[in-house]
Amino acid sequence: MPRYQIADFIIDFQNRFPYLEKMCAKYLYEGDAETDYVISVTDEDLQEERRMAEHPCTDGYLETICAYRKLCNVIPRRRAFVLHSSVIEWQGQGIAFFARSGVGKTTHTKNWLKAFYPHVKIVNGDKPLVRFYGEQPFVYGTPWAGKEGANRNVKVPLTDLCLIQRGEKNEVSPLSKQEALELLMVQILLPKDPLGLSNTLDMLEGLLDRCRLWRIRCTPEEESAIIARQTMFGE
Amino acid sequence: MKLKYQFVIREVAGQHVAVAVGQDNGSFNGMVKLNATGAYLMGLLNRRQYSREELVEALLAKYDVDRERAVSTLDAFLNTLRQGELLSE
Repeated sequence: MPRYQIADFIIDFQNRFPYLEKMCAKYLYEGDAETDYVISVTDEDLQEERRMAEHPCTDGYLETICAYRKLCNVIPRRRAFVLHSSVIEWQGQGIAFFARSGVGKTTHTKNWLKAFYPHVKIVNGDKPLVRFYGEQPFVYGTPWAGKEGANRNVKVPLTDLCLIQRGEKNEVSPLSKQEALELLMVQILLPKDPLGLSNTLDMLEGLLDRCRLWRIRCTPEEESAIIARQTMFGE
Repeated sequence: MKLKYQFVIREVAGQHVAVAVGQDNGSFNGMVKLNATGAYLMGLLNRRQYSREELVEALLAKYDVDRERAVSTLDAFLNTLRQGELLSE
């Protein structure tokens, strides 16, 4: 079976459908390091996933969703977790945008990509992984990247967390840790085991300590990215 | 009375939170925010079953408050748990 390297974990997905291989092609691992995780999806898992799905989906697609859910449930024990957000890289720094569904984090992300092309690059448009090394959080692109699938197989330090809200005009202000905590709690997957859960809370605290926290009220126009960057980085 | 679930209770960014262990994450609503007293009571209930009177005594032992205040604090806390359907009595 092919193995994949995602967030520097070596993973053996014992997939039964070819969709997963196609989706993960950029993450193929051909070295000889030991496997960190073996993830397999059973028929029961697929049925359960189908029950939760909002739209009819193929088995191959459901298998990828289910495999990722399983992976995201086990990696917190090794100090990694999935952060539902859209992440870009700018000058070697990772900037994560998060929002309630439908608010426009994808639009705001695209505005940065357009306004600062080619200096800003996508990391992952929807479900990147965050992994801690010591006190420092890093964010990784993963194949699970939302409808548009934008992702790169990269690792960058995660430096800024930005809540995206719709606004009449563009304004950026600092976000308090307490507010960020509540908002981020609903953008992560809490694992079921006590150690993973406890680690996830530790990592959340680590993010709040390590990252700059922002509230970006923005319009859908490209100017929103220019104003945001000026405020955040003074340029 | 006791808690329906096992919780991990922590202080994150100055906020006491309790998160249920082993719950399905589809709903993303397993977090309870607590003040310091709530975190203390939650910690007790997370270990074993308590009677209401035992919890009142525990509050009186830990905090410099009269019985009336301890009872009202406890009742407010227990009501919050009941509203979240976290308590079995």
